[in-house]
Amino acid sequence: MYSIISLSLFAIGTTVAAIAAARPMGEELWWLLAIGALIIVAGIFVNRIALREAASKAAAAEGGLDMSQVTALINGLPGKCREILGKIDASPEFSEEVFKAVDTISQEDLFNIVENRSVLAYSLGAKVFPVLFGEFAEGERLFNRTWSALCDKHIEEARVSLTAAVEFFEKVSAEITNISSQKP
Amino acid sequence: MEIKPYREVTVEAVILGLIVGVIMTVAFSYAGLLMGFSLVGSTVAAIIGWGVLRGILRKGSIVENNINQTIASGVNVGSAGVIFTVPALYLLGLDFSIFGAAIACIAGSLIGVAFIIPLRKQMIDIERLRFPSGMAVATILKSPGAGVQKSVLLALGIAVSAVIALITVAPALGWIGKTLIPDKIDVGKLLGMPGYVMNIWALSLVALGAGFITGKAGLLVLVGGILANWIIIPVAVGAQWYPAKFEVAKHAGEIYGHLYSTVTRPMGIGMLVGGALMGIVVAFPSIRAAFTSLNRASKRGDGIKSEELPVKFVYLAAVLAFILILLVTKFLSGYSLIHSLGMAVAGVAWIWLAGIIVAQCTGMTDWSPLSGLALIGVTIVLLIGMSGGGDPKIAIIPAVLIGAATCLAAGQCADMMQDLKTGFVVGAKPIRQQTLQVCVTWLGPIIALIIIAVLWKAGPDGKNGFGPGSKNLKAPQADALADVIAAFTKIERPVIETKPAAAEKGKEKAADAKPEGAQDKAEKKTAAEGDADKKKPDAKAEKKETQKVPYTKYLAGAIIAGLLSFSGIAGLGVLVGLSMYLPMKYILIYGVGCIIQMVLSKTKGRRWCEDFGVPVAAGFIVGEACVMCLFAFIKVASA
Repeated sequence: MYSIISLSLFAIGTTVAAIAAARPMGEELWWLLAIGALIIVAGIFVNRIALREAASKAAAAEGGLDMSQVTALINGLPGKCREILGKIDASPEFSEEVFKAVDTISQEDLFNIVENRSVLAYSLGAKVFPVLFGEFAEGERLFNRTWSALCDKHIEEARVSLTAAVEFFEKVSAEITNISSQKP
Repeated sequence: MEIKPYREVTVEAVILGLIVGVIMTVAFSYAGLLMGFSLVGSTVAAIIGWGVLRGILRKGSIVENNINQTIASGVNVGSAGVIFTVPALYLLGLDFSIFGAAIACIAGSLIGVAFIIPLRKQMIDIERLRFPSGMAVATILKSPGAGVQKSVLLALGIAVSAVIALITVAPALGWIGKTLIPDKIDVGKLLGMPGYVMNIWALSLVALGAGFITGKAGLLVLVGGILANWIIIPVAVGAQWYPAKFEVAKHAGEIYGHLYSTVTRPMGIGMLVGGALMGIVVAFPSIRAAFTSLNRASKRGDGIKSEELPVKFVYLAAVLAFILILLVTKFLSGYSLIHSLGMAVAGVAWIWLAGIIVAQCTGMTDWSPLSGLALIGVTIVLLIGMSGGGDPKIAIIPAVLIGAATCLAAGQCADMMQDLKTGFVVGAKPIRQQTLQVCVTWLGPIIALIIIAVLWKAGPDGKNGFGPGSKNLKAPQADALADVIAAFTKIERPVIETKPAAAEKGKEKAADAKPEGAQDKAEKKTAAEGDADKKKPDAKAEKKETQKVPYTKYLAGAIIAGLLSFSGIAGLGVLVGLSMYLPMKYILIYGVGCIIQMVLSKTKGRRWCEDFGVPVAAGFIVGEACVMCLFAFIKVASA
């Protein structure tokens, strides 16, 4: 609801301001442009409410995940990756089962975390989110490298990349748990 | 048993990338002068990479092929920056040092690659911009392991797109006599809408595919396009905000062209600038985090985490590029050091901003307003250069070369980010891609400069090898730039005897595959009027009157987009600005792609869209890109 209101305000404000400025050179209605600008500012405030709403359970109602679900996915990643590492160590030959397991994490866990990152962004704030999600992205890139290495049947590179990815995932998981425990 | 290292940066990949890149640069430089647009060959390079590295050499890996396409596109992207700008100096009859031009172009390319390094984290890791072409290349690279189903869908997309593109360009190649599939449909005409309401749809599967890959976020482009073309322009026509000499019934196209060039286009450019500047302010925490991360990685120096070029390189490249640009402005203009310093500071600042704008635009839509940004760069430097009251001719050469540097920097920024997006998806190491791009960034501009110099001298009497005096190589972008510079500095363009009559030029149909809408026609008409004006002093005075720089439109656009940047919607200001600037015919079909993705995402789920939709959409981009490259090669061979 708030999201629709804010988008409408952005559209109306931009249209009003643009039409005010579209008059021939020297005849622009700057006061009307200011009104359009004020409508945009109102939209910015309403959108903040919309973002807060998106971070709550309302997001889940729209088919997305809420903060606890996203956190659970992140916390589950290191364990799942270690399980795959165990299988690689046990049998250092290419295995379709290992490749499928990596593919599933990539297409389900990582996909869902990335798709619902706005929940993380709102909960963690503008200062913490870029740092933490940047670390997560590093882990994700290394996980993607694992996928490519397995696809190319280079098991050693897959093992090295996955080990490095787990380090990043563990770090992010620990920090999110730490932040959550400090919140009232 | 010794384990062989995972193949990534290999001699084979580097050599193949260089060969493909050089061939494409030669072909696309020529094709750019011929057709007025250029191409980036990442997709073609990736397909060739699979054929050579794995098919012939039997040892290519996914990340190795990624290196091949990074190098090939890093070389080839240089052609666009040069062919859109430097030929304007030839067309204006100015003597300039080709060595100085090379210095400026290399400086621009270097700035482009270096300045975008700290933004990789923000645009790719945090904001998750889609970079449709980068995603398409990643789909090609991952195809061997993505399963049969995805590969079949990718192949299907490629086949459909390639066949349609081939049928569309076949008449231009003389393969078939009549047009079987039009490149655009004028829906507005079919519905009986007035000519100034732009409702032309390009039949471009690239735009459709890019829209699908971008999804909901791309819908903002459609909204901006509707605002500019279906609201602002009709309101302006209703209120008669156009010259009195036009009548709506007779001159609907001209009125649209006038309002586009004096209202929506400058407002769109203002939005791009304002949106990008405020975007930096809003994204400051992310950019600071990126710098901190780069600094930390440099200090640690451990094998795993130092996977990005160190921040010292960014500073070093910035200083080096600034010195090179300063040398160009000082020695090619002859101005005082202070004056040259002012031009160089403004030029480098604009180049940096233009790079960010283009990277953000391509991240969301695949389109970049390269020529518009180059034109602003030229204007800024011309203004500073002419501020001393000296001969304006002196300022033109450094201004155009800074425009070329802007174009090259912006092109490199966009290409580097597309490549890094591809690299992220396949798990490549950014530092390797960045280092190689830095190493090859000089090559493309040098090749393009040599080709331009050779072609110019190949004309009658050792000049006029391209431009209005040439039968085939019209160099439309550079011709338009030369016209603008001539009008701005009030200098006369050299008269070319063999120049076709303006009326005849107006009738000429460009033999390119890009559809020609009213926005294109309006631009062409302006150029044709420019030619006619050279023969009619009164008309010329009137033309100069209408070519007043619309500062207030730029300012208004910057204010609106600056505010929209605080909306909480990533890149909103820049995207709305881009949509006011871009041809509506592509925006409409791009918007359809976004809507299809949104509908399928709701009905079938996001996962389904990624598994089934994205491979087909990527195929659409790849298929048309391959045919366009083929088209360029055939045109070059037959010209």
